[in-house]
Amino acid sequence: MRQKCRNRIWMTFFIVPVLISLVFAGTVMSGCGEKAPKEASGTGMYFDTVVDIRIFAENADELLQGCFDLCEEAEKTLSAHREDSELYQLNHRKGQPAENRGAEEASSDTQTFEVSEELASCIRRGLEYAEMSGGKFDITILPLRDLWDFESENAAVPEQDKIEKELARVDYRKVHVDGLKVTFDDPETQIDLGGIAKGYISDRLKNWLREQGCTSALINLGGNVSVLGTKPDGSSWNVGIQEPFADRGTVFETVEIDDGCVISSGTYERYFEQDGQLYHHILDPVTGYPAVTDLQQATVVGKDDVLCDAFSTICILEGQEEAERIAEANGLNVRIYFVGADHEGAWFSRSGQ
Amino acid sequence: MVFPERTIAGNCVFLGTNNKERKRDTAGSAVRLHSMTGKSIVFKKKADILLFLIPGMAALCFLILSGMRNGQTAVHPQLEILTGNKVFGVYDLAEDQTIRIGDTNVCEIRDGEVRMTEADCPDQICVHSVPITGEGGSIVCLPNHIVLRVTDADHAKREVDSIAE
Repeated sequence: MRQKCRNRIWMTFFIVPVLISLVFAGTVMSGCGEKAPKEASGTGMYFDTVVDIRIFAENADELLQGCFDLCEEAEKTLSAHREDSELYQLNHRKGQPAENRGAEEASSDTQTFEVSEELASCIRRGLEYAEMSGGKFDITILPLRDLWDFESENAAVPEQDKIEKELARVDYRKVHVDGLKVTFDDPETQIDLGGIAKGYISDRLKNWLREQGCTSALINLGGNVSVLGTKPDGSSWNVGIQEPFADRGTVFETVEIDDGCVISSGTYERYFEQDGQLYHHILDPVTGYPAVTDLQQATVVGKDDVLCDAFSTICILEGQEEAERIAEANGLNVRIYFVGADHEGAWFSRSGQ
Repeated sequence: MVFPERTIAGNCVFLGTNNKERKRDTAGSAVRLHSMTGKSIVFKKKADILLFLIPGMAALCFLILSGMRNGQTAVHPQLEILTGNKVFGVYDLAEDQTIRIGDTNVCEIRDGEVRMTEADCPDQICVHSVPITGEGGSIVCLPNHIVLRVTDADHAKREVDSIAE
């Protein structure tokens, strides 16, 4: 009798709770799959800048590695300064034009090369924004940019005759893209995709992540913020806008976005001072000097990373009024946060939005 | 499963307020625990201990597992220093210290905040960066290819998810 009772006690107080806890554990473990996806985050250095990525997905680690592999690949294609890149080879084509790439030379000055789809489409988009801005945003500005060399320790205003010499090499109308064929009318022309490459790459990373079934990710590519979907809990991403000329990391304004990008350009990003004057890195292809602008910063918010990247630079080059006019005239689907020379910020949304 | 009432009653826990009762209990193979109030809790049989132990362990299991699910029980922000694309070192944010990064930069952890205190780069952007904390963020010295970043950060507390520059 006593033994029986003891058995029952064991049944009641040992086996039952164990069963219950196992059931609990089971539900908790299976819940992992649906409710809270894994997070992976990483930082890497590509294109002379820092890439910071946060991914929420079941296979987040794998996707993160995939993104960095894509960055590496894109750098090998689009970097103007990496000597083994496809673009570098294209820019330094003189002397050994066709052999390497199986392209044919049409005349003594005109050179045609077949390039990768990625490079061709990036150049095509660059030319599109050059047209849109009437030539202010010029992807052939590389020789002039190299001359000014804002990254250098001893950056200084170059001599006038040197500026004029390099300026003569700048003209986007001497570059043509037809399918995968890139034609240069002038052997001196060099391409710099710095104004759109970052937008092009973040776009590409997001498209790839989307294809992999990922619905939540944040990419900060050298200060260009681009997000996929919403945060895992369904809320919007909060993106801060850097205050011009303040310590890095000082937030001036905040934007809430889902599936889109926030891209800033400004005179505060890279500059040097000489004789009491500020020389910033956004060069005007007409004068050969830093653009004269009424803006300290322009931040473009939209869905198309390449457009927003290019247009933020166009805003600085053109000034607020002209930038607003171009946005209207081209029906651009963007919002812009302008910070004027007086350090006052104001939002612009295209009418009808 | 239906439990006969007397079984449960027979294994009940007695608070030792009643001396007679306690005496009777100690006669068996009882285990006595002293509570903070000075009153003792008496378990009649080993099974009585299990009565508390098993559900307690089940609750603990549940807490640990649900913690794993949220990934938040283990939030322990660390400072990770990258040079190039390599990890230079990982440091505890809770421990005040000064870290030399090669010959070019020096950073400091003070009261949970990380600053770049010295850099030989021309722009000094890293030195003039807002300190980062356990809420996340990074400080970059681009000319020297150095990144200070907080890993396992408590992002939820941060005002923004990222900053456009």
